[in-house]
Amino acid sequence: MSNVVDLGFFDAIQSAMEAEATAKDNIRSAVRELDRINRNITAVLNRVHSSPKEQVPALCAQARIHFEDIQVHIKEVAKIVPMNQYYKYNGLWTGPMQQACFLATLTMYLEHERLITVEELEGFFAAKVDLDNNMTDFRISIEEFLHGVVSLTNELSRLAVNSVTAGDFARPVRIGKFLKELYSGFQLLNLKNDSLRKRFDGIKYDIKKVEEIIYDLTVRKLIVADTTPAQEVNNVEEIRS
Amino acid sequence: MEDVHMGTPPMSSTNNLESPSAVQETENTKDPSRLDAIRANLGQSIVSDFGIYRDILDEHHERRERIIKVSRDINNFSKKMIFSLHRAEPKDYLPQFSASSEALLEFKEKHVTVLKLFHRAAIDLQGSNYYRYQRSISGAMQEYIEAMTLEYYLLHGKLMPKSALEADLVFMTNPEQFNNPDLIIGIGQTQSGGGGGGGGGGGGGSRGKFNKDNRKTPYNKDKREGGTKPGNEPTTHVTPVNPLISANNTTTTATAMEDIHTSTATTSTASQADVQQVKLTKLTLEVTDEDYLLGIADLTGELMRLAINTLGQSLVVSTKDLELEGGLQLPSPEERVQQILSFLRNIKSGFDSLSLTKASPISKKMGVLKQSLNKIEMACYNVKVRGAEYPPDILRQMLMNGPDVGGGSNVGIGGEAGGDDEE
Repeated sequence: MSNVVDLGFFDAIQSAMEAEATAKDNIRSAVRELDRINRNITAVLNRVHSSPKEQVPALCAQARIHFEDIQVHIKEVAKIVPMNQYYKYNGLWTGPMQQACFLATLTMYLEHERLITVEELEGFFAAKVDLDNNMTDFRISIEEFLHGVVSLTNELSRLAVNSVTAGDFARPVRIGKFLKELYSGFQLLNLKNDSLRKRFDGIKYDIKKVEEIIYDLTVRKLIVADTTPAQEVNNVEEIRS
Repeated sequence: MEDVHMGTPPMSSTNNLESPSAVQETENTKDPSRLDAIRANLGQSIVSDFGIYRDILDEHHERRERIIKVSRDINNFSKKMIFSLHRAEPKDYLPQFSASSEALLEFKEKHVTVLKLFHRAAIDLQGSNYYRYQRSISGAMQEYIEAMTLEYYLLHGKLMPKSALEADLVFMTNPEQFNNPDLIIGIGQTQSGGGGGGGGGGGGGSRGKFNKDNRKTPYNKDKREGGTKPGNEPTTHVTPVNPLISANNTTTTATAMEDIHTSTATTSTASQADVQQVKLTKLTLEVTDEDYLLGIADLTGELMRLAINTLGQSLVVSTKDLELEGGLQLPSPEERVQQILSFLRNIKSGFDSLSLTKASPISKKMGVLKQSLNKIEMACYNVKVRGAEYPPDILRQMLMNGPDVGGGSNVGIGGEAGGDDEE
């Protein structure tokens, strides 16, 4: 009886590990491109804080051009990742993907003042959202989407401040209503003690900020207490009841 | 939500690298109606959409919890497997004696249970979900690998190849088992709600769930039953569970039993055509390279314990004890320690050939490996040097207890090997 350890096996593991490292590098470089375009879009959309609202549609159109590039890079990542191992590498792109989801969500809000639908999000990225926990092709996870929505609340509270500065007093009211609606949506989720939970806890500060703006405006009679609600938001009553 | 999921037809996806085409095929033919239903309901209002998102997230969290529970059970049983291996006598590992060894029988019994637990987990770990929940199951997987590789070494004196491990982790699953994983085996104290528990798998099952009836059922039986007819299926599975159902459930169970008996009666006349009706789905669990390596790293701790115990024996065992009936001769304890040592050195050189990053969990375990090897080498050295100076009994005592002589304080059966277990 001799002691046999198949050293060839360790060689096989070594080459498997090297292959994995290469795969990771490839994914990383594709994700880096994705991230670069994210920054481009962010730069475009940042200008809504300083532009008159007539220019907003033009900014959105400009952003939408970049989203086509995003699609290319998402496809690239999808090509590298073996489908069964989606979650093995998911950590490499989940951050930029959250950011991309946020940017799509923001673009949609700026255009229509409502929350993006799953279908529209899928249209932005030419990739499906994972709705049944059964990934068979490259998809955007629901967590990534929800992270994007949380980022939206933060951005909108900032937009509320800046629109007041720009003399648009009606916008903060509409944003306030929208944020409250989002918040009651988030309250439906049974969040575990994860990153989404932590970020969800931050939403209330965004709401508070917007409420303070509305208070300031109301006290100074810059807006009437009963401002007409934004057209698209018509189910506020439903939530309250 | 859960029921909806469980009700989807099983897909025979596999993680086998050899058959990627099969994976594609089965996954594409997967029932899309559930996804369509979800899609159809989206976009009505923020609140109703978030309700759907909640269901999606809940399903994910519940599945993860189920896997964690199964993992905990696998972990416990694997530890018991290891202990029973340490209890066995060296001669038990000879093919002539292994069948009559109580310790090895216990090992096999536990092994059957663990495989059933893995089977249960495999249902939740198909396709991309394997890596999604990999972190939840990998600890249990490593413990199991540790137990299996230790047994393999003791029987064959070799390192168990990964392929042999994976060969065990292939499960034939019938649709009933998909709908109600309790038919395979119950888990943990709390019920995970796997579809209401069929004939009565629900209710307050405790650890006692692994009662003898359930456990001793040979694993193969599952396969054969699955292959026969659906009507027959529940009888064999439900009966062993019955004694565990609390009193207030008895009536329902009784009727359930009756149903089954009548259905068996009717189906017993049914033709062979029925046999073809039950589609078995092949589920496989992959052993990742990392889990395998980490399991082996843990194995070295067990080997260290084994070596120290053997070395202790060498001082009190006479050559006569090594002779067995039939003219067989066991290797002496010294020889066995030398075998373990060279086995460990081989493993170490295998690990040394890997280029690892500092952050890799494997390189963290390398320290344990080195320590184990060092302890055995020091113990051998001490026996050689001081062997003549002490009476054997005292030296043996020193070996088992004294950290300076060798074994370290954690050599006892109750301790953890190398103190490196994560759970």
